[in-house]
Parts: sequence; structure tokens; C-alpha cells
Amino acid sequence: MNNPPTLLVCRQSPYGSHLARSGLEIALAAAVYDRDISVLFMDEGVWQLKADQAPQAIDHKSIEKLLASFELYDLDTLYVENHSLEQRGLRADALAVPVSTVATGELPGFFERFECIISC
Amino acid sequence: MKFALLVLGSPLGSGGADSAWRFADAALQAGHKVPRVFFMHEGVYNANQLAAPAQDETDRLQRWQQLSREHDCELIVCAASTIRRGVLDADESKRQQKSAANLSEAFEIGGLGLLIEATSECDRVLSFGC
Repeated sequence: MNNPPTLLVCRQSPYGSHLARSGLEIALAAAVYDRDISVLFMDEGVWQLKADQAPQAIDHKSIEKLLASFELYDLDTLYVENHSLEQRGLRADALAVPVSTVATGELPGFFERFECIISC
Repeated sequence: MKFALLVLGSPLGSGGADSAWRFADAALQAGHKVPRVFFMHEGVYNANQLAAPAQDETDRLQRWQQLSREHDCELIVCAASTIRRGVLDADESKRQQKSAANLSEAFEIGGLGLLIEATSECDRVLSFGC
């Protein structure tokens, strides 16, 4: 089977709908099938990376815990778009999991590194 | 060209599922292939065969069924998404100890592996949001 470099783009807030979790499940499935998968968080999706989430207060399962499980699947190619973080007062060095930052201006070149891009 | 589609929106909640169907229909008419459409998140509601649109409205389920029948296009609903939302075939309904089944026969329940597989076997993957 081909293994094209694949990027999942997560733009959904963690608990606004169930889509954030479903999106991350795509990344996990790709990792389970040994696919070359990276994940980019941008726009509202950067909230998924916030440390110290307390979703039990609104009867949700933790996105933060799901992200913490990524390393068990050797899924460590996580990126966040800088400007989205800054707009929301978040800092790349104070997130739930280690991520690399991508500047807005670098996005076109960044996307070109992937043969397949799935957005959700 | 071979296209894989990911449908995330319900039939009436947004325009995403309509756009996906129009894209698939246009691509097939132009001679391209759409071997698999994967329905996830609210998209699984497109497979609910109990939907009963008014007489003067488009029957959205019927046109997905027709697309699948005429063009050898697999329609897969994500297992995790569809079980959560109660769009079940007879087997799954029994397994979940429910009293009814409502998944259209044109659709099959499948795991995320089928989406991952489609991303490597098709030339393009298009996602239609919600």
C-alpha cells in the first residue's frame, strides 16, 4: 500500500462539537496503520492543545488525555500555527503536549510537504 | 482520477453533504472514479433510511443510493460515529440490544481503517465539512 505523507488539519474547538475528538481518532487510526501522519492545529483547533482542561464539568471526555495517548502510537509530529495561538493568548511552551510551531507565512510551503491533506 | 470523499455534515444541517453528492455526481459524469465515500461525525445521518422528506423536497438518501448502485461506489459509515448516533444495521442493532435498525442497505458500517486505506489508494481526498 502507498504511504503518502498525510496531514490532518484540526480547526475545531475541543468541546464545541464532537468533531475535534473524531478528527484526532483519524490521526490515531492512521498511526495504528503505520501511516506517515502529521497533525496541524490551527484556528479554534489550537484550544485542543490547552493544558489543564477540565471537561468533566461539561460531561465530556478529555481531549487532553487523548492527545497524551498519542506518544503510545509514536504519533509525535504535531504542529501548531503560531498566529492562531497568539490571537488566543496561548503560548507554544505551555501546551498540553509538545508541538512544533509553524508561522502563518510558512503555511504554503508546509502544506506542500504533504501528498494528502484531510481537514476537519 | 480517483477521488475519496469524507462527508462530515448531516443531510440538512449544512450544505456539506449536498456539495459532496454534487461533486461525486459531477466527477463520475466526467469519467472520474469515486470508489469510496466515507461518512463520519454528523455525516452518518445521511444513511438514515427512516428520513421521510416532504414530497416537494429532494430525497437526499435516494440519490446517494442511486450513485452507489450505478457507479460501484462504496458508501461507508464510520462505526464509532454511527453507533453513537443510533444509525444501525440489523446486526449492530442486535449487538447494542436495540429494538430497531435504520441504516440504508446502500451503506455499510466500517472502521476508520477504510478511510485511511482510501487516502492511499485514491489520487485526491476531499473533505466536506459541517
